Amino acid sequence: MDTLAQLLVSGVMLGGIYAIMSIGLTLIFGVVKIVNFAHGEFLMLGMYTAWAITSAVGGNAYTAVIVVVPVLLGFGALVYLLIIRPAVDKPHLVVVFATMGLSIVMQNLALVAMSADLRDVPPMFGGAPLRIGPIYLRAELVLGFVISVAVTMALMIFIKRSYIGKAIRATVQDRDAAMLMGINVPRLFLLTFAGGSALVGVAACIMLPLYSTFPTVGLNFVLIAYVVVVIGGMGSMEGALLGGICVGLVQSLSGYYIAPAYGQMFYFLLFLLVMIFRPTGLLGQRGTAMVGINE
Amino acid sequence: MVQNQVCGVRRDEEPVMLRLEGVGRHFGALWAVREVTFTVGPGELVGIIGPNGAGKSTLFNLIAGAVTPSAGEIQFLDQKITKAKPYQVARLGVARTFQIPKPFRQLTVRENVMLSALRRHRTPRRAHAVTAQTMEFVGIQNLADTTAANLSVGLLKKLEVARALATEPSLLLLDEVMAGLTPTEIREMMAAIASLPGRGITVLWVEHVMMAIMNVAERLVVMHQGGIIAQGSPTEISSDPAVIGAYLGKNYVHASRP
Amino acid sequence: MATSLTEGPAPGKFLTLAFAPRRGVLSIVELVVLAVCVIAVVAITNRYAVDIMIRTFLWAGLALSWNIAGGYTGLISFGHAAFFGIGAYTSTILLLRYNISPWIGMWAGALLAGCVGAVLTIICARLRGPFFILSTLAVGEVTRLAALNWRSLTGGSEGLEIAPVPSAIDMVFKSQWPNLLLVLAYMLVLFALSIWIEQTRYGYYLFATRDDEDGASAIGINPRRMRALAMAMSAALTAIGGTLFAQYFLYLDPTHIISPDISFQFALMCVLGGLGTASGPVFGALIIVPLSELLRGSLSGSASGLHLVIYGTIVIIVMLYFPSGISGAIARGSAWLWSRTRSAASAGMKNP
Repeated sequence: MDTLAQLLVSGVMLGGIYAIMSIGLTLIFGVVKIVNFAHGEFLMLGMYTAWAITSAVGGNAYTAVIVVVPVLLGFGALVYLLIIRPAVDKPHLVVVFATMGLSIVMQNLALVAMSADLRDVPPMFGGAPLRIGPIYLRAELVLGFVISVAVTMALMIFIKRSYIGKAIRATVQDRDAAMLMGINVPRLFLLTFAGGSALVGVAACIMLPLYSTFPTVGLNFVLIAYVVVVIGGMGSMEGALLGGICVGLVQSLSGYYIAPAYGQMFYFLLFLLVMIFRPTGLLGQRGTAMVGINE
Repeated sequence: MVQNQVCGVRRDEEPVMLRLEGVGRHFGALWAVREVTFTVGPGELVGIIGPNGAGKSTLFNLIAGAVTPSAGEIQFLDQKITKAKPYQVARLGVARTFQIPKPFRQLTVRENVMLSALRRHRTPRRAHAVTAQTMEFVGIQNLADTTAANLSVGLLKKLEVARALATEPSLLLLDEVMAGLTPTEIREMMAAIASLPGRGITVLWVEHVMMAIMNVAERLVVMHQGGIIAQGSPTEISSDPAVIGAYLGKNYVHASRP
Repeated sequence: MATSLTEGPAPGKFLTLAFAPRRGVLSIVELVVLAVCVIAVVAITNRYAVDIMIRTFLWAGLALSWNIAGGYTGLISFGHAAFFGIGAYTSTILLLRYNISPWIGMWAGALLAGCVGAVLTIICARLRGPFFILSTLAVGEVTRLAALNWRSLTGGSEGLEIAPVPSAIDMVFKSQWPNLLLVLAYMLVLFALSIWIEQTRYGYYLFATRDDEDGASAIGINPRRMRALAMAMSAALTAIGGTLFAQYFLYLDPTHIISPDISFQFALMCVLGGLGTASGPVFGALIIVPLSELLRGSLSGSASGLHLVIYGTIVIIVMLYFPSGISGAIARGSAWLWSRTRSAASAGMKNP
């Protein structure tokens, strides 16, 4: 029973972290209607940046967020202007392959610059796990979860209350109508893409204490991010949270009760099941999957 | 082909090409089409008109199989096509155009038309004759080798018609083909459509450009809020108070066929 | 043989030969390139060079297979490595366990892959755009993980090894020559098949399904069936390539065979070469494979991965500014050349 509780709690915690990692992806899809195939490499960039800051200047991965977020914000804006904007009105496979090319470039630049060695930050809390009742959890995991949920909540409030948030929701529902209403949609795209990238930066800072970084670390996590976003529904922030928790739980439970290696396979099977029976995800916009995006 | 010369009167013994009985479709609580019943005989040129939101496009989609009726039956010749899928309906000899043209963008005009012709003629070589004739009929033969993606709206509409005709259908469903055409193109299209029954093709035509449809169609079906409110010749329905009430003015009472 | 340069093939003039690569017709440029390949096969004997040629032709064939689903039918798949793996593993397992010759096992693998491909497409029938692509990615990963974990069948991460004992029946050869001929045949047959598809109505049905499904339905084409058939064919042909791979390299393991990297390569080669044409995948492979081998060799000391940085940058540039790829560029270039030659010739005739 204790084991089950342990698995459930750690699964949920992990899920929160998967959520923040994926929230940028779902936001970008909802607004700009494209899938960024280099999403994992943005995460990798954030993790390396956080590592570099802590190694060079000190502090820890969490404080490094001060630098990582602006870096990724700027990088996201740059990528949007150079790669995404020229491709937005072309057939969707142009963006797919262009961002794929970007992911290859980034992975290999990292390889050239940083070599394939794993990079870590030193453990912060002495290495001893936190104990809550019968459950043992790494402090970094709990902290990461708390930050994730806080940021996600803040984001949801922002989307519901602020003008930009309304503009975002309008554009998600109908891009053309939003334009007719006077919303500067191209500028919104830029903001969303850059903002989504900045969110990935936050995720990177939370994840570095838990995972080492290396050039292809993005590939592992981006697949998880896709699964989270699909389960939760593309474009839905609440969905990202829900999807993240689902994936975290599936991984945690199947990893223990079946086999660690099979844990990965299970969330892909879950992904396929969702795709087959409810492709718009639990909380996503109806019909998006059937129509594709801008077809 | 039996040609019906009498407008607005159907006799039960005459063969029927298309029959709709009590056809309806709802989306949630809204009935877009309600209790629609009418028939189209072979060789007729029937128009469907009505204000926006009357359910005309939905009706077309119901006949063509793109949408399944919530109620009623649709019959084409002897076949029940109520639940048929679009490609099944097409294979029976019903061709349709789309209001927003859906050409095969990466193919040329000729290839677009040829694809339709390939349904009945097994190789591109054999389909060549029908392809050329259809392009000429519609008037796009000079653009045969242009890629569809490069065409203007008016030409895309013509391509839609050509593509539908090249399947050599018995029933042609035209969905607002006049929108976006220049006055000259409208006149050309009117002449082309008017000649179709003479070539053995029955036509069912939804249209908003009144001048065109009132002058070409033999019989009109007027829809309003999902149901049929009148049927008859252009003259009859333009003086029908129910129709006038719905949206027509008295301007078209004196429309006559050339 | 007439030559013609207008856009799109002129049906009714079947045995035309175009000068520049164009959909639906065989071109002189393509014939020259293929002739060069054949000559190279006969002339080159250097082991290293032959190895590169084998890889190149095999990749060309694999890219052509992907193109049938991705380029012609619009089913962009990032999971084709699954079919590659199914082909390689099926024939190898049949060989190692049941002593069945890969000449036969190859077809078993193709059949299995074809069925999987068809079922997949039917299951994912409603998905479009990135949703479909992500599903294929998931399928690829599930296959890889299944192969990794099903130790009893696939040997898990240790993989499977075929004993390098030469035997024609077991498709293991002492010299590279037979393998080279096999992959050359693979590429040539698939190229011919692609051109043939482009000329017949089935090809046109695939193009229609790709370009506008509703339009295709409206003229009587069953889009679901077309998609399933195209994917089945593409999967089966990819699987055959998998067997050829296994019989040359004699070693398989899931991480290298069923990886997303390999799936991406199939797609990228077609896209860079020119999506939806028969020559695109061939040009893509002919340029990318030898180039990356050479770059890798020359740059490996100083900066491994640099060649891929260049590769990725080229992909971005091509996608944004040269969407018809290498094949499109060659077509435009040779069309220009042809028109210059023609005008020069007619000018010459006017003014003797």
